[in-house]
Amino acid sequence: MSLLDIRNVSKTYHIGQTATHALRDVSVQIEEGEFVTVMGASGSGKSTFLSIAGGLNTPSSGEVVIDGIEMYNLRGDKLSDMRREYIGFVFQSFHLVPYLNVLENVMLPLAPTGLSSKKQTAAARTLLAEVGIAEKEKNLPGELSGGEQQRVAIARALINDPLILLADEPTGNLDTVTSEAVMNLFTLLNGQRKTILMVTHNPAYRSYSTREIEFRDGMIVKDSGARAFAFQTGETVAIGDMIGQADERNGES
Amino acid sequence: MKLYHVGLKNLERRKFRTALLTVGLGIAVAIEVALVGLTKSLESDFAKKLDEYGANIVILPKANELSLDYGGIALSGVSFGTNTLTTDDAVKIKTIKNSGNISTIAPQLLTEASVGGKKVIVAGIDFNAEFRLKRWWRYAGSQPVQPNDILLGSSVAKALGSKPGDTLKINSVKFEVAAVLNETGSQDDRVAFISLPVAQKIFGSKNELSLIEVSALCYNCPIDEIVRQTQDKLPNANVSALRQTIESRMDVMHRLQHFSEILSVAVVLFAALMIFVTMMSSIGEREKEIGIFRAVGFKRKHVILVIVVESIIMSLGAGIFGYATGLFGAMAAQPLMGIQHLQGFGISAFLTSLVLAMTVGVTAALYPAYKASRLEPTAALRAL
Ligand SMILES: Nc1ncnc2c1ncn2[C@@H]1O[C@H](COP(=O)(O)OP(=O)(O)OP(=O)(O)O)[C@@H](O)[C@H]1O
Ligand SMILES: [Mg+2]
Repeated sequence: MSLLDIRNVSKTYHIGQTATHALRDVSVQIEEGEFVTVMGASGSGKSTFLSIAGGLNTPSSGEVVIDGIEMYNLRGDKLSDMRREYIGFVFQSFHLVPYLNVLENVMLPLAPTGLSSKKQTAAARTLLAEVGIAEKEKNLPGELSGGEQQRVAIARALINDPLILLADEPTGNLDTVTSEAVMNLFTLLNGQRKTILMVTHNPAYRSYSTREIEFRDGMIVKDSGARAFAFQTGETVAIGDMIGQADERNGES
Repeated sequence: MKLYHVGLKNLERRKFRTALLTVGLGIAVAIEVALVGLTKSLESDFAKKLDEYGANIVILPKANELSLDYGGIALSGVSFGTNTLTTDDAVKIKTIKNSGNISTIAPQLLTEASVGGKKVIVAGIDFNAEFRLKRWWRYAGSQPVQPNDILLGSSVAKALGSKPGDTLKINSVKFEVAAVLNETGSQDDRVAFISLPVAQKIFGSKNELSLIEVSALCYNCPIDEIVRQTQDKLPNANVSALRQTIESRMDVMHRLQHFSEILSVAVVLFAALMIFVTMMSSIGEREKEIGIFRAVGFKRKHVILVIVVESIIMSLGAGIFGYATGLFGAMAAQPLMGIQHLQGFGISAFLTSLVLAMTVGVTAALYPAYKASRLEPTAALRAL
């Protein structure tokens, strides 16, 4: 059984009289541990695909099965549980809550859980240290650079230890150096068997992934298929260090 | 971090927004509190004035029940039977349980006498009480004060050819015409008024009275209750309410109340609209936040909890601020509006302002939550 099984998914957006067929009968299976880059021209349906895979957008037809559970058959509250427990989502425009500081933003998915504040804080601090901005935990999102905000968003996506990390152009608003740091972070996470789907416009990032899918006009036109891959073992560099180095090169920090 | 922290942080970190919404809602509440309170005060002031305007209770001796018709003053001479009214009875009225509602007691002794050679109805009255009761009296001359002053109704003065300053004789007692009443169109035109003790003396009727007119403040108290209490104190008298007067006053008061109710409803609607518009101005921002909450796995009820906590705290603040502002505003407006006693600012007004602020504030805050929760999270995230 695949971790993520997308079966005959179509999505049509209706605005007034015009209908946009964003996805047309898309089927694909993603196995645990894969790092998939999703490519394709603007408007080809990548974001739609990702949001449907992440339980944020109901398909017009078709099924999305994660870990054997058909997501869009769930009632509203169960779907919320699913999002919280199975999926971490990173958006191109970060989507941090402006009035919550860095630490609080990372803890946000834990707020509805019964977890004690102490444990929440400890978990959030660990992740902030991993993504390398522990020293900014009291800052508000508005006081951070784009790269820093994206790292907060990644930490937030990881706080529930999701099975799947979905990232829609996570480097889209970042410069090359910071982007590379994020890619290294993803590689590291994938090394820890985290399944990752990442939309990107940068062909260079294909090399980080284990599989590429390409969309055109709402259909998958290319799929490199699950490539035999070896987990990097003996990785010793901390993620935070890598990003920290990137920031220094970038003149940030 | 608990869910309610999220709402609290929003209030705390976006102080300007919080202050703006609190003040906006507070001002709406203040307008409601002030307007409703002022109308109520005006209403009760007005009711009091209305009640003081003429008598609404008449007390007659039981024996003369049928022969004495006050409306037309068809007097067949005052009979001095066993069931007579006395000056003591007038004093007793002040001892009823609802004595606080008694505004004026005007005793009268009526008799027919020869004045300047003509048969005229003479009324012995308490000048002060009578002038208080009959606020519509206008006269030429000066208000009678001396024991031998006489006040003439317009027809009497015409018949006698008297004017202020003239002297007249009743039963060989000399009186000076202090004033002549302008025409009233009532029985008062055909009466000569002298002071009560003097009348009792010259007509040899000691402390007896023909009738007592009472004006009771019955806005807050049923007139029947006052009548009953008075009747209990004066078993030998016949106490009756002037129904017609009371009914017409009630009618006026009901119209005023109706008007003030409509006004309050209009003000509340206006207040609700005002705050709704303010809240709606940031609906896109709210929807996006809710999209984030939903995307990270908040259930609908979690989103609602965040929003309700936030809006309840804000609305409570607005309710208290609004009540205080409304009260101060009304106190400032009170002298300008000539209101004697402020009413309608008690605990119930305070609770009303809290409930009003909460209802409007929470409803307006829940609307974007409701709207956003019907959207897909992706659509909510696009909002703005
Ligand atoms: N909420 C929406 N309402 C209407 N049409 C939409 C909506 N979202 C996407 N679309 C349309 O669906 C099509 C696919 O959009 P989508 O965002 O999935 O593309 P994309 O591949 O992510 O593009 P990009 O690379 O520019 O982000 C486009 O034609 C887009 O205009
Ligand atoms: Mg996109």
